[in-house]
Amino acid sequence: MEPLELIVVGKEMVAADTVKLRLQRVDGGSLPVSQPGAHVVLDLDGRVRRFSLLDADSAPTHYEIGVLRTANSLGGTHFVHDRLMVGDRLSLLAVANEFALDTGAPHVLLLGGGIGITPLLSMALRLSAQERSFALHQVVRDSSRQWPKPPSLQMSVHIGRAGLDLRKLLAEQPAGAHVYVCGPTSLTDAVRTASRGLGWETHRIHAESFGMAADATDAPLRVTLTQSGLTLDVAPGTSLLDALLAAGVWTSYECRRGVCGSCLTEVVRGQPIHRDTLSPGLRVGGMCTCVSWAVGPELELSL
Amino acid sequence: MDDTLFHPGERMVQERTGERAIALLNGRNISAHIPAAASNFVAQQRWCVIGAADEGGSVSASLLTGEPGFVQTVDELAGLRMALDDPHDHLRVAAPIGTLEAGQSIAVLLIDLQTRRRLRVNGHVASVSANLLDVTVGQAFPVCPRYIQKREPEFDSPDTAWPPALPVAGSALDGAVAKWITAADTLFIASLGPSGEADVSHRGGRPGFVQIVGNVLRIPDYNGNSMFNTLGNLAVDSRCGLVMPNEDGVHQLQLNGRARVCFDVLDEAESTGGTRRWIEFTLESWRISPLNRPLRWRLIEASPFNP
Repeated sequence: MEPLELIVVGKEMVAADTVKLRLQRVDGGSLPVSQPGAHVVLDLDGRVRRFSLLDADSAPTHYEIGVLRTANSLGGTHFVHDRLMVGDRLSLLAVANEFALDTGAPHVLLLGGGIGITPLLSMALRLSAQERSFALHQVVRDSSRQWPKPPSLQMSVHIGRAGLDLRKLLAEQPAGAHVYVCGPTSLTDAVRTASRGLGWETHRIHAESFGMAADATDAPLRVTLTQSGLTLDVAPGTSLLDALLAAGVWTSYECRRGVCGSCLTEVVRGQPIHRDTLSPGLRVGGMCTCVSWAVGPELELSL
Repeated sequence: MDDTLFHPGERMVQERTGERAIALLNGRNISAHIPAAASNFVAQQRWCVIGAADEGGSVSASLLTGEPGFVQTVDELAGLRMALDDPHDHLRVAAPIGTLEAGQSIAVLLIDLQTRRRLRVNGHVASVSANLLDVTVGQAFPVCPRYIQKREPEFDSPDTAWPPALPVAGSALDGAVAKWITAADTLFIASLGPSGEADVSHRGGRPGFVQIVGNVLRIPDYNGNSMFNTLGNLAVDSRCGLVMPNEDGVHQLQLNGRARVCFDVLDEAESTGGTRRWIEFTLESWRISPLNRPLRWRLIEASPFNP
């Protein structure tokens, strides 16, 4: 689709460091249809970022998204929090869904970590409207970060990962249940490991990623590229992929959020911190430069 | 919403699979020039794959080999220049290279098995002679590393082992040809868009990922970049050509035929990696032809993305 010009018509704080934006078309027209789990791709002042839609609608006139101010973010989320105001415009590049709800599952467990609750809310609303069996859980670091519960839904809230026995929660689900998890890689990995351990088939496990999830403890990296002989210094807050592209390094990429594996690059030396949603088998010997980081200070890539 | 990036066949497949939005997003990586950063990559390659049609409209894919540097970017990244190194006079009679003419559509795929990187260039033949092929770039785009088996070139491919074999041809899928196909983990497929624009694309999987069913090759369509250049082409023009390299590094198996795209197939063996899409390629003819220069690859590891 051609980029659509959107205007911000609402901005409100809904939890600590968390803002909800309401967007509509500049001309007031209808927006592309979205399904539960879908996300929008927005151009934020030249930075392409993806955000899950809070609700799915067959003829939407508005989109709502939640945006967390992320540690170390030099661009996207700080721009939304500190600069973007009601009345400002931004471009909608695409509406996509790589986290679609399985319509045949007998029961659905929805598990959101922090801001990762957002795509699950659209699923919960749809499942609730269809009177299907589901459970909605949110894990948050502290209660100030809890996303407000929509009035029509039940939501279990767990404070800290210690407050949640994943294995027990998964084991309690009815036979044939599907799990949808969105949040930090530590959570999606833990759900994958626990559910596989309980014998769940892979098609019942669905994970979504939001793109580069910088951590406050990330250290600057010196990245050596063995094929092109370049050395790049990359500061936390810039993705390795962005740094590579800025340096003119030729590498492929597609999703920019650790889902597709297009940017998977061989690691010659160094210890990656994986933040993609690929399985451990796919990560062996490589890393997704779009979302992952490494234990500093040195990293060598075969590029 | 309309776009000029994709033709109606591609749009149809993108819409049918629900991957249109992602295709448009990934389409932003397509450029009218070779990406500057890919220049070194181009000059490091030892082989490429050529896709084009002949005068009669038969579409073929062929491997073309050379010393590193045999392909170069020219005209400030708007062109590719390929040396046709042909000591045994094979290219003159090889499809589609032997029949190329200035002005015709051509696709070039540069693929480095060692780092699993590839660059696709679709364009036109600017000029062609016995030892030089110049291509004007129409579209260039990097493609992802999925399903590429990692291989390293072997440097002990002596010319003395070079049999000046004549092409062997046929139209039955049996014997050595069937064995070759069912052992393959890599193939390339050339196809044409609605205006005859050539494309050539890589397919990879575990050995045996291509199945023979009667006179038909069933080639699974795994998850990809959502653009569906090949499937979109086949949706508007069924003619296509396949090429499969051989372990011996001396020969290639070229197949010509027609293909149709199958959606929502009953895939009980999960051979499509969950997409439930495959291509059914009906063979018209095959031939085993020698490479212009031998190039042998040693398998390092299969792609972890192979279903």
